[in-house]
Amino acid sequence: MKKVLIVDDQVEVRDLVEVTLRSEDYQVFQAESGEEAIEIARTEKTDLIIMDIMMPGGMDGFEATRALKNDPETKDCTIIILTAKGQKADREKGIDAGADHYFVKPFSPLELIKKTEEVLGY
Amino acid sequence: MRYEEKAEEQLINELDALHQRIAELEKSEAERKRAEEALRESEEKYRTILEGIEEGYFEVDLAGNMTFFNDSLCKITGFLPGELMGMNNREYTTPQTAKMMYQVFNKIYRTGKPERIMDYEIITKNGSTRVLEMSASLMRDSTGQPVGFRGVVRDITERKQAEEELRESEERYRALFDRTLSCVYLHDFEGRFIDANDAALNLLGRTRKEIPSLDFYSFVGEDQLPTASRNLEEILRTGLQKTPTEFKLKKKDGSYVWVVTEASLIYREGNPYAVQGIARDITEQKRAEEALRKSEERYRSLFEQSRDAIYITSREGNFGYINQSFLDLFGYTREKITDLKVQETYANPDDRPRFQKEIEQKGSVRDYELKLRKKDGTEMECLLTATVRLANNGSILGYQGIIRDITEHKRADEKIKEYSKNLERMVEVRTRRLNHALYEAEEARDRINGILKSVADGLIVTDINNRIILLNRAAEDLLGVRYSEAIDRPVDFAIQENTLRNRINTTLGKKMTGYQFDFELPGGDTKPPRIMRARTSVIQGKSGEETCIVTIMHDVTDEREVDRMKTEFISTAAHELRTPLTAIRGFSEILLTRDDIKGEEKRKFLSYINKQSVNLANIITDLLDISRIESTLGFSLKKVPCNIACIINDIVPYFQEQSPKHIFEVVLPEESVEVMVDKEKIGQVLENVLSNAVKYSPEGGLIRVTGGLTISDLQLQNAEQSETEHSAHSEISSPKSSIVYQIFIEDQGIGMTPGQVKRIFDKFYRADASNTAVPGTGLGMSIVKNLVEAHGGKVWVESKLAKGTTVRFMIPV
Repeated sequence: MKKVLIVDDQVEVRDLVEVTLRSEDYQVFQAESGEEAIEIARTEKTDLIIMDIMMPGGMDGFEATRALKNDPETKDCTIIILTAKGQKADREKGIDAGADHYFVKPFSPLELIKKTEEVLGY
Repeated sequence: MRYEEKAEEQLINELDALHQRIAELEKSEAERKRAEEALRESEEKYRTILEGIEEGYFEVDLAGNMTFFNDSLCKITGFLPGELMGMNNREYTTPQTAKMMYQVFNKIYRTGKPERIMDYEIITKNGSTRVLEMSASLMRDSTGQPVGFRGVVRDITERKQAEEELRESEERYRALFDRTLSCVYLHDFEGRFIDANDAALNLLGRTRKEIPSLDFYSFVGEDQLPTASRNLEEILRTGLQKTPTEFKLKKKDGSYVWVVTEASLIYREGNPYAVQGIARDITEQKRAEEALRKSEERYRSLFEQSRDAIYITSREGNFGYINQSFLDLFGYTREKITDLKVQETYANPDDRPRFQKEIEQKGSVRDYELKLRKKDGTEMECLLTATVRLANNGSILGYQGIIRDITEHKRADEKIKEYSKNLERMVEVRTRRLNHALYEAEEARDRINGILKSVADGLIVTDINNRIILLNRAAEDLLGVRYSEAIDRPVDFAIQENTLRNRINTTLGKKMTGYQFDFELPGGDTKPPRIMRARTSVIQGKSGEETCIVTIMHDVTDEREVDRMKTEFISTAAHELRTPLTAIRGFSEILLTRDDIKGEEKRKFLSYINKQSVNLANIITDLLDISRIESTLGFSLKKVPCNIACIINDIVPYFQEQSPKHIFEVVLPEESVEVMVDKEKIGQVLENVLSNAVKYSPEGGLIRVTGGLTISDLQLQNAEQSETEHSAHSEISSPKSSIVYQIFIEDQGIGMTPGQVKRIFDKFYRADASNTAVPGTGLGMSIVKNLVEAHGGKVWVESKLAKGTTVRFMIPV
């Protein structure tokens, strides 16, 4: 059972991702902010983090991604950015921060499943 | 003379022979008597001869004393025979002569040969001097011993005198010949020159040496050679040339001189020998004559060819001389004019006495106006310029003058006057029009200048040499330089900003129209930096030449900001649209593909979809609103009398329903107040403010809405319509105060920092953009401000972080 963390300040999005990935293969965690995400990632040793960019608080998705990828404890965790920021510069910024994949909202839940399966080796 | 000499010698010889015979006779006694007789006879005979000859005969002894002489000698010397006998030579000669005679006699004595003394002077008894000639010989006795001398003398005083006179005459002639100022020359009958004096040589530019090589051909022109020959013939025939002849002679240097010559034959020993001529240089005279002739010719031709009529008339009215122009003018022939009287050429015969009176009084008239008549009767307006002709005694002979026909002139003059009058009129009209046009042009220019100066964009006008012609006020402010300082200066002087200066210089160099570039004006202590857009255009004159370059600087700082915000908005809008769409798309896809979603969960997902689609609709409404307000098209207030309290009372319950956990409180006065507003727009203002209050305040937070009339001393803007109402109230309140409807909306939400408050009305600004959980476009407050101000009202925001925000706005009543 793989651990998947969903980070988004919107409950609708968190619920959407969670229901999308709801199966016996995944254990899904939710976080509302970057800080919370880092905490959960450390404690739960998540395999995959689906990360929003624009979130309230001091840390946005880019910073959280960079922090996770720089932390030896969490650096092996795959990070998929899922954001409404669809511009090329944003995408580059995300890859630069260490994200493995980049999804733009609104996204297709089916595609997200496919990508998740691909990343987690199912 | 030779003959005489011969005779003399002979005589002397004969006498010698005679003496020898006498001596022989003396020797011979026998013969003596006979001989004596013969001697006596012979002596008698010789004595007769001696007395008969004109020459003087003398015999002197060896001492020179007179021993024998004849009467002629007495006559020559003036002495009586008694006085002369025994007289020595020295006594009747000058000492020089005596000395000379002694030498000659000495020589005769020594040589025994006769001698002659040619000219010697003696002094006669009366003291006068005579010139004599002498032949003398030695006298011997019968033994051959010299006993004395004998000689014959002749008086040559008269001959000598004649010879002297001739010599003197010749000298005088020569001097005359040589020194006279006239040219004198001598030539033979063939025309070859024999002699010429200095004057003649000088005249012809020749030297004395050249005389032998000169002849007529040397200087007489071919055309005058026949004349020269004729003259020569005449001289040979008659001895002299009857009339002086003028010749044009060629000088050695090729130039010419004019001479008048007279010549005559001269004789030598009675025979014609040569021709002597005298020539006088008349070149100057000739020249003067020629000049005179030419001048006369000129005057004559002037007179004849003059286009003015010239006349000479007598006092009585007869025509003397008239030129062709006169005939042409009057139409008479030269023959006819002799019969014509001057009076007949007057249009008014009475004018003649008047004319005569005037001219005779003054001596002349100038431009005297007179009407004259042609042969065919045509009358002419004429101007006479004439003088009186006087006889030697001063009496008036007549008049001479020039007539000028000015009929056409006068006509033309009148025409010209008329024309010029017309012209003046036209000029006046034109001038008036021109002045008007000028005035208008000046006015237009002033107006244009005024417009240019007041244009908000900075305007630099430079001439083709990049010197500043005009800077308007905006440009002065932007560049920080005064027009009065910059005028006529190079553009470099006026512009400190490097980019602009370089770009302008480049552009001005290229003389391009439509060149556009942006630059940043650095801010000062009080001014923020501004971004300017400069655009240049070349202004061309009528003939297409470049006259000046206009550079317009438009402040695009705000536009840039708007652009920046628009870009941000698009990204925000996209984000805002994507957020609800994420839920809509995601959940709908889940519901469509997954059968396991059922019951409560299915409802929850559907409500997400529904909620986000409402959100989406609101966002779209906001976008449309702001774009409508922005463009001002389709944005007009539909003002109607409204009770604002009613609007508040309608809206608040709706929010209460949407956000049941917030506490809404409405505070309104008892009496209802009607205000002229656009009901829908005021509703939107309330909605936007209330939605912010709900969004940014916690559940359970209090939201209070307070409304009511109040007096404001604020000058509200955009209050055109309420302006009249203001003035109506100005009698009861201070001019600056007015009655307004004021609404407060207070919340107890998260509040904002002063920096956030400052930007609250900026379009697309959101206090916390990263908080995507709170939906919004950042347009709400911008819309509020626009709508309130459109009503002539004003809006304020006061906020404290973590305490809450109060939005207050006033609408003029």
